Amino acid sequence: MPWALAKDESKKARLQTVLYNLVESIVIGTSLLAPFIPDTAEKVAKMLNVNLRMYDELSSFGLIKEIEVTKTPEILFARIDSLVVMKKVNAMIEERNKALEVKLEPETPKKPQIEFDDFTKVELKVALVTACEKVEKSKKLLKLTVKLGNETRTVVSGIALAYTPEEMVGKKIVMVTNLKPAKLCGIVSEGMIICAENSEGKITLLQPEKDIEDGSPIF
Amino acid sequence: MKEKYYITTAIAYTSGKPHIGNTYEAILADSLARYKRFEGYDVFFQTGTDEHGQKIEEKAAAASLSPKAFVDGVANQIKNIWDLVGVSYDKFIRTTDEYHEKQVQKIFKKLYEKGDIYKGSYEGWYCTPCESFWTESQLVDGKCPDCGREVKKSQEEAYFFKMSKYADRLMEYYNAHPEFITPVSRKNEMVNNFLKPGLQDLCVSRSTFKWGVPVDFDPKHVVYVWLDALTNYITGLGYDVDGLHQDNYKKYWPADVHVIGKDIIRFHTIYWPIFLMALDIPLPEKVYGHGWLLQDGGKMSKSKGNVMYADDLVEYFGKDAVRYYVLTAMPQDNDGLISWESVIDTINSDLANIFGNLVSRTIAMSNKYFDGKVFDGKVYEDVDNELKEVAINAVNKVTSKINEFKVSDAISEILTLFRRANK
Repeated sequence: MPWALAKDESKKARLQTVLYNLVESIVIGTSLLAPFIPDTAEKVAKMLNVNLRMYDELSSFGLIKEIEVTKTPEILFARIDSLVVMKKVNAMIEERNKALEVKLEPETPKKPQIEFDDFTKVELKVALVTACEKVEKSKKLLKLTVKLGNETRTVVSGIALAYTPEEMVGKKIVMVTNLKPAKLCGIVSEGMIICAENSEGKITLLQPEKDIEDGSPIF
Repeated sequence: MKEKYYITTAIAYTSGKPHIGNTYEAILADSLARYKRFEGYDVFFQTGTDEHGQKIEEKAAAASLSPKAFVDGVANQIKNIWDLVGVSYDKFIRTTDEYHEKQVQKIFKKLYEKGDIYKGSYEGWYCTPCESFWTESQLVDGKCPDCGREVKKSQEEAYFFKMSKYADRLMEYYNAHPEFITPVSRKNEMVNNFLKPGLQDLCVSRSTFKWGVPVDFDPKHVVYVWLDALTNYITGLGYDVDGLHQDNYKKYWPADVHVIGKDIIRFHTIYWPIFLMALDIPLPEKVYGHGWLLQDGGKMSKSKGNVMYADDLVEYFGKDAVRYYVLTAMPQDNDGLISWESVIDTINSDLANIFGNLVSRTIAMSNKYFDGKVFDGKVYEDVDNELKEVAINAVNKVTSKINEFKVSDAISEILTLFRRANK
């Protein structure tokens, strides 16, 4: 403990030895650190008024004869106040997000106009989710059991990244009910669930604004 | 002068500004290069940019720029970031450099004339971002097995490389060089997933886009971006298909290590050695596949404003603090994490408290009690020997960790010395 030795005048030579050993250790360690933090290593060498060691010198201790260290050391790494810095960082991130949002806006490609008859070909109904589970081997798919009035159907939907099976059960959602059945991951899907998706891939389900019986048609 | 040591990074893809995860590799390879120089090796350290491919063609079009103008901009940005974090490369190669493109054309032609490359046609599923063709059976859930994105059905006339011809020789090389693939665990993956099931012939040309090195005898086609990119390791040294090699090639090839990300190990340990065998060129000694530096637990995505970049980090914390953080944040064989908070914590604990304090207190006391003079007071105690022991043993410990590419462990050995000194 060099700081304890300092109080006792008779231990001065011992204190000097201790500091010498510390400087030797610093020079050896800093020489080894130089490939990783080169500028800092040079700074330390300059403050101590030594050269960093050559590789072949590193197995020796006590190579310094006498040196005079700087009277005006600089702080190598100031302690960082996390709160202060994070405030600045968060402000920067927020600004960038705003700039990105502005850029992302337009872009949804327009589809050609259709006749009213084209639209009425699509059968949409309100469906109540009665059961839901993950589709094995797939990250994106959920298998849902839905009730449409008197009818029960199975639907596979790519919403697993946005919704858990648990939160789906009990939801009333919008479904296309006259699509040809399709096999997804070995499961026959008897319809399609309607979602909105933004440019970042965020997905949300569409739901009736007031409660209404499942099976109700949508026009 | 000791022996030569040729170390490379993977060349950075110029589709956009590299985030800190991409920059990590350059810092890692730089540290290894600097350490080898320190040891006395005659080091040649090459890095650069991978500038061809469909993705870049599309990005350039979206930015209303010619592909060349686009990659000039990004390559410049990458070079600036490398310089900012102190990457001490001896050579920065760009795959749009004329000498490189010329050799790629010659290599393609030579392999065609030799019969290793033949013309055929391909029907399959194409993943645009990865620029990879897949057969039906290779798809996972109907998606690209590498990135999980949508694939398009596609057919094209194309050139193929007879991979299977060299499979046995590659296997022999693996067996004779057990440390060729580091970490070794990756070797089994390559053997079991690719070599044992039998190597498929590789499609080495594309005709669905233009931005690449044209096949000179059939300019409808451009050379597959990986065949183009991988050869940078030899063209950068001045390899010449006709044997008129420059001195650097004669002196430094084969590479002592290719430092790459773990996601491209297959390209470097199967395709690259096979291309080299076909060209009758000696194989690299080692391929080191490092883990990813991940932001906040997910792979860094460039689509959001919170992506961390080296230039921001350097502005806030300084070059060495950033280097120190990324080098120590990566556990061997695993992925590391980075967040603004974790960088601050590491700076405070390791650099300010342990290293910085040791230096400043030692200097302050030397000034206070001895007018700044430091020399051996020659009053010894047993406890001194412990410190000396740690100090003089440090070099061997650090070097052995570096030789295993365990940079984080190497630095931790040095910190142990400083901690001991702080006692």
